[in-house]
Amino acid sequence: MRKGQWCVLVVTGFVFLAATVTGFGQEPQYGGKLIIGMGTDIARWDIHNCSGMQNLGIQRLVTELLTDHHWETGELLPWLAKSWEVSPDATTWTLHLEEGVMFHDTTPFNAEAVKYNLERLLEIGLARGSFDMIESIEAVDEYTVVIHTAPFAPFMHLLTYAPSGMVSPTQVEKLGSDNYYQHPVGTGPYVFVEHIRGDRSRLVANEDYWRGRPYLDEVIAKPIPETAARAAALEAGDIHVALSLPPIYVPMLEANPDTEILRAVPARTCYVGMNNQWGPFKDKRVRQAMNYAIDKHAINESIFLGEAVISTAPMTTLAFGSFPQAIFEYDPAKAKALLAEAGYPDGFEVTLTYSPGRYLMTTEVSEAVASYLMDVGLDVNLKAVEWAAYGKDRRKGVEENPLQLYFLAWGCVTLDADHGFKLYRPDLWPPKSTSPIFYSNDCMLELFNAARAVTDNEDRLMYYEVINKMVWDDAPVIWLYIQPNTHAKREEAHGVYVRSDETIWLREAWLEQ
Amino acid sequence: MTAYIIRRLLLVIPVLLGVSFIVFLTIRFIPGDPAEILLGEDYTQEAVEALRAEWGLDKPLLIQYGLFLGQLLRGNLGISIRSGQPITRELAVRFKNTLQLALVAAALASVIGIAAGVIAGTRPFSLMDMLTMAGAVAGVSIPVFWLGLMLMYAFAVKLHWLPAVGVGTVKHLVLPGITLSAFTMATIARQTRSSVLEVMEQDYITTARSKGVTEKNVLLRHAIKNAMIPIITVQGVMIGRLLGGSIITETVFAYPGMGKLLIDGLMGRNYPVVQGVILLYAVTFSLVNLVVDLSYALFDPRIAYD
Amino acid sequence: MMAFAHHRTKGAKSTHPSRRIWKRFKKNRAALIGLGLILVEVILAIFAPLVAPYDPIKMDLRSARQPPSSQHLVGADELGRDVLSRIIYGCRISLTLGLVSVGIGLSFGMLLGGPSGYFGGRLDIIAMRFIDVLMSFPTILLAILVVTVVGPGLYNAMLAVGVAQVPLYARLVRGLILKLKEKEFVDAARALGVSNSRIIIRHILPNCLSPLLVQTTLNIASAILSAAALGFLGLGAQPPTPEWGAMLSKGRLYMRVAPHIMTFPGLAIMLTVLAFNLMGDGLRDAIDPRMSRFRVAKG
Repeated sequence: MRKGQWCVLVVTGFVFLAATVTGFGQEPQYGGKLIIGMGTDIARWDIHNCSGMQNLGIQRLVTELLTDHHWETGELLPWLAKSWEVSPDATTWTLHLEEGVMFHDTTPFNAEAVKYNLERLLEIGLARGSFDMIESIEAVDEYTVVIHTAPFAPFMHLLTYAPSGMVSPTQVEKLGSDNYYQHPVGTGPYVFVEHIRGDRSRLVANEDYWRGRPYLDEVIAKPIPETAARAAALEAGDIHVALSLPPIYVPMLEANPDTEILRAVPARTCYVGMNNQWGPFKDKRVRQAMNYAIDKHAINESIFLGEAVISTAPMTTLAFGSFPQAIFEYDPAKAKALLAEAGYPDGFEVTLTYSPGRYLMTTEVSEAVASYLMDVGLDVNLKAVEWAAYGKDRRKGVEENPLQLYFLAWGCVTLDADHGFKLYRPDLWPPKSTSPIFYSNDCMLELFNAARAVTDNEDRLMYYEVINKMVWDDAPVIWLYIQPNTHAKREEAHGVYVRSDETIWLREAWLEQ
Repeated sequence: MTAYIIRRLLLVIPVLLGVSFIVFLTIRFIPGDPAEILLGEDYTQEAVEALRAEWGLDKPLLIQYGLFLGQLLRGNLGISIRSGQPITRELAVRFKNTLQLALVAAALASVIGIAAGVIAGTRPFSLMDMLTMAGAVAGVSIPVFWLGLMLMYAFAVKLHWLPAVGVGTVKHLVLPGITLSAFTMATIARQTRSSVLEVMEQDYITTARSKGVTEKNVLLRHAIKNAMIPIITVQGVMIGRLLGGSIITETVFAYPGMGKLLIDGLMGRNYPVVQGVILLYAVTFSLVNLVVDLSYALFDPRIAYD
Repeated sequence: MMAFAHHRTKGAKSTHPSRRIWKRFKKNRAALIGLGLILVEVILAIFAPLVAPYDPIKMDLRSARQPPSSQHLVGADELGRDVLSRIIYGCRISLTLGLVSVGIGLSFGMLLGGPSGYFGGRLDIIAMRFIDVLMSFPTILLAILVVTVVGPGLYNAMLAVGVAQVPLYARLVRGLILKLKEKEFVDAARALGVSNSRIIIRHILPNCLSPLLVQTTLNIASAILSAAALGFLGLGAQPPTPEWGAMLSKGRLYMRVAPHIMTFPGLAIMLTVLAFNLMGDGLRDAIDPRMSRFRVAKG
């Protein structure tokens, strides 16, 4: 052969080789068993009765929702509801459902099923408070549902909130509502097989999935509460995905060629709540002083290796209707001055309650906050409480609530200010909610309700701009940061994405064999 | 003999009663409403009523205890707050795992401990002896959780030879097994050494030696056999101790056994589970002690002369 | 023949029992190391504010997780606190934990086992059954039981470990008294009409001292281990208190990136426990030389 022809052959050969090696044109492969390491076990495989965002991500492999957010753009997507119309006053929602979808037990998914599910949610769902605007649901024909609500513009966004998942009515009737969690049945890409508490949950591929059979044969979700163990398991290859890793593991896992860090946009606002009706916290100056006393940048740099985002607004700036404000920069002198002005020159005694392990680096941050507050003269008692007991305390009304300062987080899952302000709502004091901020501001409440009734998004923004500034200035809580959303996976796992609400998107996941 | 056995068996009953009473009291003395404590967060009025009826929560303490005993004898340990499942089911699985771990640790402790003790005892004041005994005293001083973490760091994290957490394969039993066995291994080594030394001084050994029996046979036929007797009778107690020691080891290695269940239950305020696990531990321990006492009595007549 | 008859001859070497014990003890190098270590820790505990380079609870976020360096000899923990200073202050906590819990165990153990052994009869049977019941619980489990009721915390942990030691001491004391009760000098005293309490105080108790001393030293070792275990489980002292077990527990999370946080507190626990064990063994060998032929003669 002539030299030219050899060249072409060699170059083609190289290109082909390079393509194979670099994965150019890598096609998803079918088969394989993906193993996921979670921070906590799934408490109940009953989507209406479960909390904990990580777990909801896994549950959504089995149970699907009417709408969804795209994992990357956050854009609202139709899902089981393929299209919808809304009345101009935002009270009547007509949803058109996907046709021919079946639950894993061959029960057809239709309007009756939607009605059954929403009614179950409203009756016994843990998060039913978030859906209290729903007034009635009608199954107009087999694939059309009409939902009547109080005026609520972002309703379709709310339907992306996992507790409104669609489960098989047949299964609920068969097992009984209380026992449904023992064997959930949904419409999702994977079918539930078993849940061995504390050990694993096992799912297998839904061959008849309405969007096409998923790539993986099996998905296993194992709880590995120890973050060190979780990271170690990922490195050893015992698991393919490790959820919720503290940023201290980032450098190590990034350096490792077999693992990769998954970063999603942080969306969970972590703060130290103040009981606005307790002693010194009734005074706005004291509350602002508390904000000035904390060095949030140092906390971010040291504890989160810079992966957190300092809070600049009462909720994540990703949310619709959130407006960034000027943060309370670290200024212990100013804090002390404000305290003195408010009548507490020698500080006061206060208890900081936190629930270890619940959020990322909870204990470290709580200790750090306590230390900063002690620097400005406060006498801080740190009190660790277990999550269930914490929840009970948080739900107590203003007269009996023992909490003074407490570390908590709030994920604005619908990415809409209406949901984001829920914490601060003066009309939602415990026991109507679990947020004992006890913020009191009639003007804010009026503006908030006005915003709700408005359907034009531009108009809503006007209200929210004012509310944001008002709430920020009042400093009802000590704003800290938005928690990093770092997870990790092995290189051979593809199509694994994490969303800003910390749930994992696995519908397109596949494993290199 | 049979009289002794019967008497010993009968003695177990008051002890078990006492154990159940103490566990019962512990749960009742936890500050708070007993119904809340036993049901957790989400409870309906019906659940509370049912619980009150079952365990007699508003009756005087002794009557409550009676009802509690009644439920126990019927095999009803209650429902776990977290999972809503009857506790007996969870306990059974966890018990099996802990037993596996304890047996592995017992085997390690016995084999290595006895071997080390024999080596040290037959070469008193030698370098081997000093090293072994130094290791032994370190072994009883080392905190179990620290040893576990150090082993985990070396072998699982740095060298990747063994898994760090979990259960399932033989490999998962290695690190927790070694960790759990350390203290007992060291104790056995020390005891064996003393025992061997004592036996070696005995007359019948000197006699055997003077008769020209080789040192090896002296060791094997006479010394070790007799030195073993006190060691063997200790095996039973050892298993009981290992069951208790597993609480910490399981926590370090996230090994799903009884100990981990207890700690998780405690942290999660899952008191029905805590109650059930403690009862099972105590009952097992008592029964093991019983078996040891009985077997010791069986061995005893034969020990006298050999 | 009186059990502890001894003669004091003028000019001859004193043969008072405690002198003899001390002489034998001195020859045991390992035991001396143990004693030395304990003394060092006691000094550290007492003079902690003078010895420790930093305030143990002062946070310095910029130094978080720093490995051992000239600034922090043994490194800094997750909030930048100096680990060495925390270990030094931790000596106070651990030694107190050991002493107080053993104190509780000893006192209540004596109260339970003493009269039971001495008077026997019905009292003995009931007490023994009660002790049997308590001994059906592995030690750590008893401690956990107590913490379940009273809640976590440093003082609660002391109580819990103390209670867990009671059955051991009760049995020990009862056994000792049973043995001593048989001795002739007790019969003689009784024949002379000496009251029970006098017998107990003047004759029995002093002879208990040696074995009790040995056992107590060894029990302090296991008490410190148990207390550290409670701390490790999060059932003991709460943050920011520098208790060694709790420090280890925190260090666990950072095992991969900052193993020094976990390593050194654990080492401290081990050395302390080792010291008490060595001293206890040494005391035992010194007091009961019959056994010492069968121990490694060091020195």
